[in-house]
Order: sequence, then C-alpha cells, then structure tokens
Amino acid sequence: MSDIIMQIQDIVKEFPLGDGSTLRACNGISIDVERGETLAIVGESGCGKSTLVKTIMNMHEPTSGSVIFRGKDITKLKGEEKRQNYRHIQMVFQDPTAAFNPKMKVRDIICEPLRNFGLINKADVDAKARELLQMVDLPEDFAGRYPNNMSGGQRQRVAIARALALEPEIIVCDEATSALDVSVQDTIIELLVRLQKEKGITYLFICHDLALVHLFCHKVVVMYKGEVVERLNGDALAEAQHPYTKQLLSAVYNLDR
Amino acid sequence: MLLSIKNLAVTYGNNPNPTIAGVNLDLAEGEIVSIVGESGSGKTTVIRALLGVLPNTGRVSEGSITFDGKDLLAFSTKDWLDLRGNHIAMIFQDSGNMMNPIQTIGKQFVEFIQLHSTMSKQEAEAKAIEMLALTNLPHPEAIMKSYPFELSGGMRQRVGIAMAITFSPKLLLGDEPTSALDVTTQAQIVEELLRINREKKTSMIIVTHNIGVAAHMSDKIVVMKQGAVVEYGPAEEVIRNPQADYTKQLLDAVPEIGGKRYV
Repeated sequence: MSDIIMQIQDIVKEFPLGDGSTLRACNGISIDVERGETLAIVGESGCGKSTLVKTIMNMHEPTSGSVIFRGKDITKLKGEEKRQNYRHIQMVFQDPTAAFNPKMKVRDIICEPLRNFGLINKADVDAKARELLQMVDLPEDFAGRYPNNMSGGQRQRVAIARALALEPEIIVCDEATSALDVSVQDTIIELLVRLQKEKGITYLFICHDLALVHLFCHKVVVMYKGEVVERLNGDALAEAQHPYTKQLLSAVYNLDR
Repeated sequence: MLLSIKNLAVTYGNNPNPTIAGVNLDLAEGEIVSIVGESGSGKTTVIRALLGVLPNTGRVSEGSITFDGKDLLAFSTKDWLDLRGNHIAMIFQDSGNMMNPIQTIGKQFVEFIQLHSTMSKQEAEAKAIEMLALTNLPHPEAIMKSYPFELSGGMRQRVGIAMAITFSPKLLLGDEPTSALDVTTQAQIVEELLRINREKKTSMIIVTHNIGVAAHMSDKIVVMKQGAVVEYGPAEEVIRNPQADYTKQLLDAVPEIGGKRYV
C-alpha cells in the first residue's frame, strides 16, 4: 500500500547571477515521498539538494513547480497559514553546535518550538523537556544543562528531541550524522529508526554517503547537477545504472572483512 | 626505521594525568600508518607532538621520538623550523582554512617556498606551478591568481597537498585530510596520496575516523581510545581479526553497502 505524504512536482529554482544570467540550481525535480518511510536524497555539494530542501521547508519560493503536502501546495502559502505549516515539517541540522543558542538551557531549547506556537505553559516546560529527553535516550537532568556541556552525539540527540517536540509528520535531516564519529553515528541512526517505528515519522535524509543510506533508507533519489538522475530502493543500491551513481558507489571504501 | 615513537606521553598544563600515554609506533620508509579512533581519543595529539606543535601548555612528558636517526625531543626552535615543511609536512582537514583569505594562492605558495629555500621569486613561482600541476590541478597558472574562497574544497585540499610535498618530505602527516570532502572527492584525494606514496616513497601517518579509508590506504593501523593505543598491527590483520573489543565495536559501526540494514 502506498500512501504519499508529500508530492514534489517539477520544482525549478533559479538564482540570478550578477551578470544578468541565471543559475538553475533545481531543474524540474519531481519526487513522491511515502508516509512512514525514509527517503534519502543523495548527491555531491552543489548538486542542488540544499536548494530543494529549502523549497520543501518553505524558506524560499521555487521559480516554478509545487510541493503538495496535507492537500495544499505549500509553496503558495502566505502569512499565518505558512507559519502553521512549519509545525508539520521539522529539521535536524548537520552541526548541532551551530544549531543552538549557547546561552539557552536544554529545556528551553527543546520546548522553544512549543512556546512559539503557544502550545505549552511556562510551568510545564521542564516536565515536557524531560519527557522528550527520555525519548531520545538522554538523562532527564540534561534539561538544566547548556549545550556546550555535552558531546556532539548528545547534542544531536537534543536536536532530535527539539524536532520531535511539535510531533511533526516529516523530519528533514540535513547531513545529520556527518559531523559525528562512526560509533556515535550508528547509535543516532538506531534512534531515528526506533522513533520512526514508534511514531510513523517520515524522514527526508540528505546525505552523500551511500553506505550510510544503505543502512536505513527505504528509497534513494540520486541528484546530479540539479536533476534527479536515478531512483533506487535502499536495499538495491548495487543495481544502479547511472554512471554518477556508480561513481558514488565506487567511492565507498568497504572493509572487505 | 624512519620514525620510532617509544612510550610517548603528552600532558597538558598541570593536569597530573597525561592526555595520551604509552604510545608506540614504528614507521619504515614508504610505509603508511593510519591512526583511527573517535574524537577526543588523542589521535591528533600524537601527530602534533611529532611536529613539535602541541597547543598552549601541551608537552611531551615521557617517552622518545626518533626521526631519521635524530632525537626530536632534544630539538631547538631552529632545528624544528628546519624540520617542518622540509622533512615532515602536514596536511590539514581543511587546507583552505589554513590559508590567508585575502591573499592569492600564488602569493602564499611563493612565500612558503622562499621561507624554506634560497629560490628567487621567479624560481619559486615556477616551482609552485609545477607542484600544483603535479597534484592534477587544472590550469595551475589560474589557480596561482585565485583566492582560497574561489576554489572548491577538493581543489583547496590539492593545494594543501602540493605545498606539503614541495620539498619532498620523508614523512607526510595528514590530520583528517579527506573528512571535510564529498565521497567522490575523498576518493580522488585518497588516490592522489597513494600515488605520491608510490612515486616518491613518502611515508605517511594519516589520522582519520573513516576506517574504510584507513583500511584502503595503510600498511598498519593504530586504534586509539581515551589516550591509549588499544590495538596496533598490520591493516589486514586489524580489520579481519580484531583483538580489542573497542576495535570490534568500531568496525561493526561502519556502514557498508551490502552490510546490515535497520529497516
């Protein structure tokens, strides 16, 4: 049974260059995202994946094309309707250090999205933060800490807790594990997979490491120079046909154990 | 042996406990050794000690480092200056960050060459262009005129390598030399380093958290955890038949195509 949660249709995004010409960062991208699955968007820097993510996150308008989510084209939303839409798509960034205000305590960081939408009383913040910390396997007393008092892996868990606060339908992970050590990366991926099973969250996972994608993604979209060049199932990466995908595959150093 | 580290310990400030301790490492000419382990395990401290560039209050508190028959720990400042860049050179994680953003690549490269040799400006320029071409950078003359921000990460890394190998050092140290790069660019830089190793017999110590890269490049692998070496041996042996629990744990965490899947 396929249940499409988001339809990305023919997205084109052009940026004006200084000399009057334009740079086409996304050239007609169409992707169907299935509910409760992990979709990896793979490609090298400059291939347009971040431009696409910004379009999905409603941080800029596409030149043309649409993103259908909850029955509406979210690229056309304005004002309060646009703001309310942010509740349903949350994001986890590459560098958890840069993603937090260093002067805020973890409990305030985690509950800030709820405060922004007026969904929580000040008195309930601590209890809610503790509940969310528990969800991401962190000790509850982290609520009173500052983000610089913890390791990179712990900070990334806090970032995931913050993303979970609004109970979003989709979480976009932009290179969410590339700043982490392999052993820490492994535990974060395990956490993401567990949360997906428990809550049916859909992940969009932006990445350039096919070995990591193989570990836990259901579908893979390969982007190159602003276009989708190949679509694969996560367990069938070896069947790749496009030369760029093959190049990506050969760039993975397997251990040959 | 080109390099021999015996029972090395490094201590910071007044901390009674050394940050790294009991590190032993032997490196023959033309050999590549990788040091793997998670952040904070002391990998970078080891190679910084080798270059005499421990930050702030860091000092070697125990052990010995012998390079090319010389005792590095007895070196004067002048000896170190002669050693660095000429005999031991370093490649950083992001070479672009190590450059002056408001000077052209050419100006910095020429300055580096003149600092370490008696070449004239013209000779140094020719040498720099030759080195850029050697690391497979297209249009080296144009690169000389570029500023660091005008180049991609992979190109900047090649510039860093070109500078590091200018004086044919016997030992090249790499501190996560490919970790900031895309996988495809990483593969190119790894091949570049292996080619330099083959053609110039340059020995290398590569610090990396990418065990796949370590396994592909090295003759020997050192696994570090919390300042101590937990495993040290031929690369194949460490990968296929790890002895330490930590090594096994680290190897199991490496995602592989065709390997385990969580979904």
